[in-house]
Amino acid sequence: MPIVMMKTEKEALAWLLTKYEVPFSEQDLDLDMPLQPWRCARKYTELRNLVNKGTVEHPCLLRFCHLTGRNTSLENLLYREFDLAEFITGHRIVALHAAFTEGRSGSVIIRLDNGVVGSVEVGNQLPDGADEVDRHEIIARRGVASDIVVDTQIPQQSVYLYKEEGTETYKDTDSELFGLSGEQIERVRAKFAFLKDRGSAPEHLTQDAHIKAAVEAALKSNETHKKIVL
Amino acid sequence: MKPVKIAILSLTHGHTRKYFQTLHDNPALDWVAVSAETEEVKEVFYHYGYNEIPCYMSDDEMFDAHPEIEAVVIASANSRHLEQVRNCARRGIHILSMKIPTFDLEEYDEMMKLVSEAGIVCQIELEMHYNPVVHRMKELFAKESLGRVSAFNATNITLSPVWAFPWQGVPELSWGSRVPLREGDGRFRGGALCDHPHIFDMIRHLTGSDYEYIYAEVGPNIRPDIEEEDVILVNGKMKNGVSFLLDPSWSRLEERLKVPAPGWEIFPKRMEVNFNISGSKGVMLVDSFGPNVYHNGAPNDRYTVQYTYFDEWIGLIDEFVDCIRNHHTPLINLGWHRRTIEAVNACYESVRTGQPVYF
Repeated sequence: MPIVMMKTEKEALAWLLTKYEVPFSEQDLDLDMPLQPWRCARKYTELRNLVNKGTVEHPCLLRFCHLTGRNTSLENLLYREFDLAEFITGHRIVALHAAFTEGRSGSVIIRLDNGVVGSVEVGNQLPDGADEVDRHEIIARRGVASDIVVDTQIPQQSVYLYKEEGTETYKDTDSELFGLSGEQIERVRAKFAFLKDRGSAPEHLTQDAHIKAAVEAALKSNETHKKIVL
Repeated sequence: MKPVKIAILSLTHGHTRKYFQTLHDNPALDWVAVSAETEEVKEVFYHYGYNEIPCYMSDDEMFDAHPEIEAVVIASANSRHLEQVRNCARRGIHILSMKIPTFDLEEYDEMMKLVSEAGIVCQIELEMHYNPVVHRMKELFAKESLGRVSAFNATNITLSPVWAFPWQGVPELSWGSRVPLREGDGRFRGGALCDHPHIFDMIRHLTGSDYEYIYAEVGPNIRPDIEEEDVILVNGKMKNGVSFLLDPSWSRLEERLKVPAPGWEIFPKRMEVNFNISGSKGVMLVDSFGPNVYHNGAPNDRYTVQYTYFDEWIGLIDEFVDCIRNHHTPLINLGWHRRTIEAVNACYESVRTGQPVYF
């Protein structure tokens, strides 16, 4: 039984739901719900596990960074990174201070309800065709956890193919959803998890409102040059 | 599709615990029972929390209590595989075999005959075929992205499992008998080489060729207190001219834990399957288990790779179910896999003679 090449998110979602015998309707495949899908990415669940299980003990500082091309808005980047800060640590953002330039790049310093502080660097000025750069580092009294290997600045790939015409790279992480991009896999996995347990809608909606408020606060902080308490 | 009623035998193989979640989650399976070789093994099994699965102290006791069992994962020491295959064939039970059915080719041929006559599925567990990175590599090969392949170099290097799975450190249980590596060497066949057939298989798949000759050399053990080889290098040529270098060593040191747990590794990355392949159109570097996430926290405050790749077992089991229900032949069946076993045997023969072995 070969690995199936998935072409669309909808096809992949239907395939997963069928395989795992989760009842669904055609409408479910077009589900439009703020699910914070990055929470389903393996690297973030593993970072969260490292914190939750006490492998890194007593986090004190977060160092997050996410740089993309022009097609991703700063607001969307902030939404994702703020939610990841809360997901990985299990604590909520209670205050922040932001400094952006021309709505294209900048940083936010956040404080969580347990006193942990974090830097969130964001920007959408990578040239077309460049791979996104992201980093999520948790510095604790015991240990550091990160999704970037030591002594490098950029995320690694699984496959590097060096040819006369240039270098191709690939990073495939999910054999059941082979063929989809990392972001597509996050969305499909999130919808699948939601449809398996439909009771989680209130949590997602509450989190969505909270993170949107944090993003708004960051934009306001940038304008007012003030720290904002949420 | 009716779920396949499945059980696990013995629970002593290092890969045993990899199946627990898949057997539990996959609706195409009905996990009926397990058999354990010792009370200690049983206790470890229940430590994983699958308390609803009955555990028996012998295969026959389990089979007699559950005549509905259709298939098993044979998760035992290599030395037990033949008797368990005989038992399953007699009962008409499908088999998912660990990566080494046996190194004894007479036993191997008996297994092939038993499986064929019983009309059962026997799939060999070479899980790398269900790894998404390897799948990408296969696609790139299918597109001939490298042109004419010239060199195929691969690692399958890990820590040594002998402290957690002691049979792997006993030549009779791993290799099948006590055969010295070479004259004057106090070590015996059955170590790292026996643990890592994957790259010997993958080169055959990806190049579409067969071995022409193979040469192997063992180094001094980095664990002087085990009686099998732990570092070994292999090179040679395929019949289509591709040269190869394979490293199947246990070259990553470990804490000597009795049960695998956080802190097992001393070197940060405890398992690596990397490929470095050259061809007329370029070069491909592949890390089948990376990138990951990393930490230097508990329990030992050492820099450590926390793996994010786990799902090989899902695809492997999906294929097994498909073969049972739809009467397909597994990609890695006994017939295909025999040559890989012969290649491993040839490495030991090369170590013994100090010369390449021709096929």
